[in-house]
Amino acid sequence: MPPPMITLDLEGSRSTYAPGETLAASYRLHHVAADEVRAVEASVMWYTEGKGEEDIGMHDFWRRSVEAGDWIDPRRATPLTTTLPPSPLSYDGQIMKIRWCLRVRAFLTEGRELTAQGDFRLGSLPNRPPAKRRRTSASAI
Amino acid sequence: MFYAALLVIGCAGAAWLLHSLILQDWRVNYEFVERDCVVLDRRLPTFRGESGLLYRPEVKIRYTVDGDAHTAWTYDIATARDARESFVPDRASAKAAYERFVVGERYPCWYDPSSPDVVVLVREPRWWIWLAMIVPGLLIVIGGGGLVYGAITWGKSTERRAALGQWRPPVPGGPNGRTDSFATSGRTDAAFPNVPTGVDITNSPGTRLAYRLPVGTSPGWALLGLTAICMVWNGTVAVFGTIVVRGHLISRPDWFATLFLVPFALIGLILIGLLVRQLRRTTGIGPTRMEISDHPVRPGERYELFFSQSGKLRVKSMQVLLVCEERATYRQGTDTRTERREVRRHRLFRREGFQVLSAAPFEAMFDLRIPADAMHSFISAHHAVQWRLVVRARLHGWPRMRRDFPLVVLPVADNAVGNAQSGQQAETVRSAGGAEGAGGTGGDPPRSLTSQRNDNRNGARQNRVDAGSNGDRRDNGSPQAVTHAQVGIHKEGN
Repeated sequence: MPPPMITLDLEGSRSTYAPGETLAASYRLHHVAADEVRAVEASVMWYTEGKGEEDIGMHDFWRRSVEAGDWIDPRRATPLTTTLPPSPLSYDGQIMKIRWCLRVRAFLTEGRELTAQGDFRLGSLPNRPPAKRRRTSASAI
Repeated sequence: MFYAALLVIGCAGAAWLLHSLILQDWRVNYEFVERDCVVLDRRLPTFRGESGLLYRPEVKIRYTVDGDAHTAWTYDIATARDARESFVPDRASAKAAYERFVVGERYPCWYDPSSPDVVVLVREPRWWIWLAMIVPGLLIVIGGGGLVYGAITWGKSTERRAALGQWRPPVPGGPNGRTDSFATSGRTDAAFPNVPTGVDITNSPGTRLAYRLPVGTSPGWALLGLTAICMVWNGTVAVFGTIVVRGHLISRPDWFATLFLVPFALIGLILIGLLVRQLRRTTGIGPTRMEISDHPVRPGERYELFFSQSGKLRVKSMQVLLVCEERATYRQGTDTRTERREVRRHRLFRREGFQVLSAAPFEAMFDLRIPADAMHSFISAHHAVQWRLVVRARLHGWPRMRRDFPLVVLPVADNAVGNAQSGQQAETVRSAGGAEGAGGTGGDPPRSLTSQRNDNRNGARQNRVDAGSNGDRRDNGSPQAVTHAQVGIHKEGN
């Protein structure tokens, strides 16, 4: 039997969105029986990369769970839409980056998890700021 | 486990305090029965504690309960229970306490109805008991809070914990019209999430332009901090110095202490020197004023700046820069480290070889144009993008001067929707593998959409790393932004 998986679809095959635009997407679980799924979480969020501890900002979050009485049919595509915020914009800095993504996490029976993530850009800032100046200072507490 | 241990210790401590001290005080004040008694004798017994002799007042009284005469040495409940804390180091106060009671006179006393031999002459509430409750109280709050937080977040994904952490009233419109069953829709109602508000920057009107920008790192604060350090250090050294000098004056010098104190005294002198230098710098250079025509600022737009420098100065060079800095905070072992990197610098104004007179401050007006492709100001728990105007000067007879004026840059009003929609690749993502065994990046499409099978919550992190590496590949082909300085027109006055 093929392994279980999640597919994500960003409507209109988009990879970059402007602030205030509507992100429409859907996700679907494959090769998973209906009675295997305990819960599914979908997040539209940003996270930081690079130096520094990771920060996460949740823009929108949905959770559907069998426990809460939700009917989860893994064979059907589940749509979701959200209006994207004006900030923070996607950013590729020198020591930090801000990434936006749609992340779907499925919780299966016996503690198994499936995760799928689709990155997109919010805003149209250039990928990396000019790097002429590289003055770095570090301080410790 | 750690929080559970704190909670147990806190509860045990609180229970002990409650049972042995607080409940006892409460019973003395509300359950003990009042009677008349006759003072027969009084004494001041001693106890040798770690800090020397301790004293407690004791008064011998006779009182009657239900027709039975009782005799007891007592004072307060601590004495009646023969508790260690009934002894005090101050002999005079202990003596004054029992001298209030005259032998042969009658006084009210209070006995324990469940044990008539326990009697007190004084029933003052002991306020320090409540102070002692602070320690177990804190342990209970920290331990209990940690356990509650652990219970709330236990078994929840990183995303769900983040959503719980920034809870807002639920917004309808989730998948199939549903919202989170825990009402955790994380949409924020802030106008610009994670952009500093900049309220502090616009609360001072300018004289020439709309707002006077506050100084980010005021030399006055440095002076205040140095003064405090100087006073604490030299005050401490002075106390020990007095003891050492006194030994020398009475011909009983302690040479070890004297030599030990010398380096500390030298550091104190250096601190005084630094303080004098900072005092000269703060009071001599004079205030720097920066005003702006509008705030917050937006990329691509033009603003006016008014710059003024007071004092009596001979300037080798003076420039005003627009600087953008990234900041990242992380833990390394037990240290918390903050790394800063200046990622953009634009010179707005520069002038060389001139004098500033005390009666006529140097003034200049010039333009500020935020680059159209500038990242907006950003702040999160461990990261920040900070914009500021920096005034730097090289002066005759003074150390280099630097004054910072923070700015808030708002996100650009994006008109790139069309661009965003064009020329991009499809966004279908497939996750690979089953729910067991090692995962791998499935397919690795050209765009940064990746997915991966995970056996646990760490899988999400792995995905992000993959996404980042794709992002880095994109960077290689990106055009570099313009870096030249936006030199504005300036006119010097006075």
